[in-house]
Amino acid sequence: MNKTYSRFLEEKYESLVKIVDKLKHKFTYVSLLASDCEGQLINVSNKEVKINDSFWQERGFVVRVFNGTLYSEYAFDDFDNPTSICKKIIESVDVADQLYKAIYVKEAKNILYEEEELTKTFSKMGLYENVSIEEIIKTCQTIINNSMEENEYIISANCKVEYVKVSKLFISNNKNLKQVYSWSNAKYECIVNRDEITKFNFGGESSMSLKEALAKLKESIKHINSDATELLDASSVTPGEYDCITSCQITGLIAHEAFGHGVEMDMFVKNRALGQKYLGKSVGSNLLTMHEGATPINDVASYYFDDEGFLAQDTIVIDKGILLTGICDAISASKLNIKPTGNGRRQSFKNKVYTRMTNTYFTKGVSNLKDMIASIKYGYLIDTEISGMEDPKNFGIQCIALIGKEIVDGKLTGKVVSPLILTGNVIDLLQSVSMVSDDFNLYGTGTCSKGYKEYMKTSVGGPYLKVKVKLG
Amino acid sequence: MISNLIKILKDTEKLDAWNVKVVTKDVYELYFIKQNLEMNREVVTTDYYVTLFVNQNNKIGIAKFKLFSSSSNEEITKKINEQIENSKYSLYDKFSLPKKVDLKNVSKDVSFGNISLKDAAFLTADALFEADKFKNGYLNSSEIFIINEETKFIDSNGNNFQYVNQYGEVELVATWEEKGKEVEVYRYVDFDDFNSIFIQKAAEDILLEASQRIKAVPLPEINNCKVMLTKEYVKTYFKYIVDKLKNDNIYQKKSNYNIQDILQDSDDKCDFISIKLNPIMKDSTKGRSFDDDGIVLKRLNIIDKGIVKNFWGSNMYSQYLNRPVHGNYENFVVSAGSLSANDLIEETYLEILALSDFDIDMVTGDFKSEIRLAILYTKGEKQIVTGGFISGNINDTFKTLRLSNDTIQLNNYVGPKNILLDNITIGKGTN
Repeated sequence: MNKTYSRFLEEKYESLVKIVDKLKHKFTYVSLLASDCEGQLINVSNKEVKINDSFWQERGFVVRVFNGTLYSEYAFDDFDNPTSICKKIIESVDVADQLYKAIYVKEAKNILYEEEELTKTFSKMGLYENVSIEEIIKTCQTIINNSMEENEYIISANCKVEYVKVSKLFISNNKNLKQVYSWSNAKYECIVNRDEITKFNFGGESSMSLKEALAKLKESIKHINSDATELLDASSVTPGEYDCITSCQITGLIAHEAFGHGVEMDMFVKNRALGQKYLGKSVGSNLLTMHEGATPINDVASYYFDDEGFLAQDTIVIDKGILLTGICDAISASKLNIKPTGNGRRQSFKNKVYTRMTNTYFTKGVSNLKDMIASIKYGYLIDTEISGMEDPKNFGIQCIALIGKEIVDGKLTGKVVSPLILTGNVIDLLQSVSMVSDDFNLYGTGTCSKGYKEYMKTSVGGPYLKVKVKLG
Repeated sequence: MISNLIKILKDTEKLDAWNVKVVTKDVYELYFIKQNLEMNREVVTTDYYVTLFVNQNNKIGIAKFKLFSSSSNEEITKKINEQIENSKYSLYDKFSLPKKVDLKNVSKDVSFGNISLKDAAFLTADALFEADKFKNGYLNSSEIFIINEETKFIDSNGNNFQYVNQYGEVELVATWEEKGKEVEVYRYVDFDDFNSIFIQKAAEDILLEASQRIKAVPLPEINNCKVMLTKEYVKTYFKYIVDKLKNDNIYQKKSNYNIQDILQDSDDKCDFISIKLNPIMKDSTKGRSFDDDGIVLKRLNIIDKGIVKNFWGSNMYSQYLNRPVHGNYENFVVSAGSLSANDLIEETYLEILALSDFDIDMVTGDFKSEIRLAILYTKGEKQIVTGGFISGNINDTFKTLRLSNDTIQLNNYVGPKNILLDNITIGKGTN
């Protein structure tokens, strides 16, 4: 994978400009996003090696037009010439006949969002370091072989390494933008067995640099394997409210599910988020500050402009416990009469834009993790995210974690409970934060969905938090 | 593009075998807030999924990759050569590829045959909104996808199959407001036949569910109560069992099932599980007559009265386990049981209508989910509840499992509408 902007997009550039110019005669507003994303997923297990294209690989175009009231889009992956594709687009987006015949359907009265003039090329490929496939496979095989030699209970292990180069071109009435950047994931999973008991554990690291992701993964393997062994003796947690410490990853999950999804402002437009009513109000301990954005940090969601051509930014969502603002795509922003925050993202050129998170995290505090553990009489250190599900309408929270490490009289006992479900009210949880550690880690190995679809790479993270939380 | 690709594959000397799956999709989409059309979209794409098989010193090297409609001959050739090189790392013990089969191209009746995808999308919208007539509740947002999908499979052994499918998908969010309270319910509905009554009923169901959720009180503390799973959750429950019988998972040690394994003893007081896989099923959007390996699919009985009878899965892993190659399926049919409404009159049980999510650990069978909406039945009396959670292990539920005597079809699942489970932990609601 070379470090340069897509040759394919360069070759198509003139034709794409012609498409936009031709459509401008017909529509008030026209934009075209062209994507060329290449990448690979290398999956190495103790039994086999699989080299596949990344799920995030894509190549195609999406045109957005505005006819004065309605936004329409046409996505395609190839075209013969600008004239023929423009004809198809015009035919496809025209729904006057259907609206005339419809019994209930009405056309929304949208207003056009404003665009500043900007022509610029961006690149973050300087952070990407090429590693040969052979080297990746060798590194993964060493990790797996060492793990299986050192831990007699591991019956199966695998590493997944994924790297993607994203090239995007955005042309509209006022903008002409190009960007190229990369991201990488390195993940490890092991299955352990003792007698009739089988458990699994996993972990992973993300970065814009593949070398860095692999190096970080190597460091975390011992921890993943020892937790897997401990899980063989795991018991169920007795449901109840506990003093707990959330790991950096679980802290990030809470940020993402609680006030990440809760402040996606396309939900404000639909009146689907309770967060709208809490702007300017306290939603958590004054120890908490939460950022959302593609610019403040380099990870899997660190781009220069979003899929609507708006520059990425650093949004402070919660400042010292006060909910300041949300994140927003361009169409939703026009309805709310605010400025977009550069969070209009598509799963691929085939998908619609929604307001989506990028890198979401709580900032670090001043406490020491040892002191935080020492302050707990009986509770758990909660680690390893399995899944989370937002409930922005009701401020309910559901996060499922794999491991709860028991703390008694300020010390980890070595006993674990698994799995465990964190439930309750988001604000109660965040108000209960009494200590914030001086650590900070970001995790970009997972994917985020909107409801149950529209997958997106995001990163989450933060410090360790001491919280009161209901566990099941 | 496809003819260029096939020619290049045929002309590449280092290749021993190859196959190509071509998926051409045309999707018309409508996005609504309430009944207002916010955006219309169309997506027209063709993706090419290529698998190469390369002889590498008594092993088979396999490379899988994707090409685009816009891939040039130069790019195709470069990619194939790169992937041949990569295949030396991805080595497998030898196995046989599917031989040439004369398969009559089977396609379903084209559901939206006489109308365009665009027109079908608008008719779907009107059918949804026909149900949107409640005083306190409404469809807050709706997304409609009407899809025409053509799948072709071509391989170096001369197989050339084609399958055409048309279907629709709808994402609905219903809001209900009453006495200063407001709740919402989310639902994803798919259908393979344009049937305005079905679509209208789906919208009505979600609105009625929202009207129930607003009445819900926190789940009280309850002991020794059975749990009834409904609709999608029943499908997820049986999908876990179906996946446990997939050779790929057994080879990768995510499952340890064997032929003739007994899930339920004959003296267990339960309804016995029988599951069949069915490649093409009416009203399923997932039907197909062949899989991605080019295996022609036939009906397959995998569990009969609680006993494992057959395994399914990919060509390669099935051969590695010395098991018959049946291929990869999407549709599954579970036999109905004996549980009737009358059996439940005196029963105390929690009927689950909506969970935040229902993830089952593929390896262990563990699950935990937050209850968004349920009905607690106590000897005929019913209480609508929310909050709390259920947790347990699927494998601990087989021996007392009860299956409803009425069935339901949920896209690629046909089977009991409800199942009654024992050995489930129920956590108290808090909100």
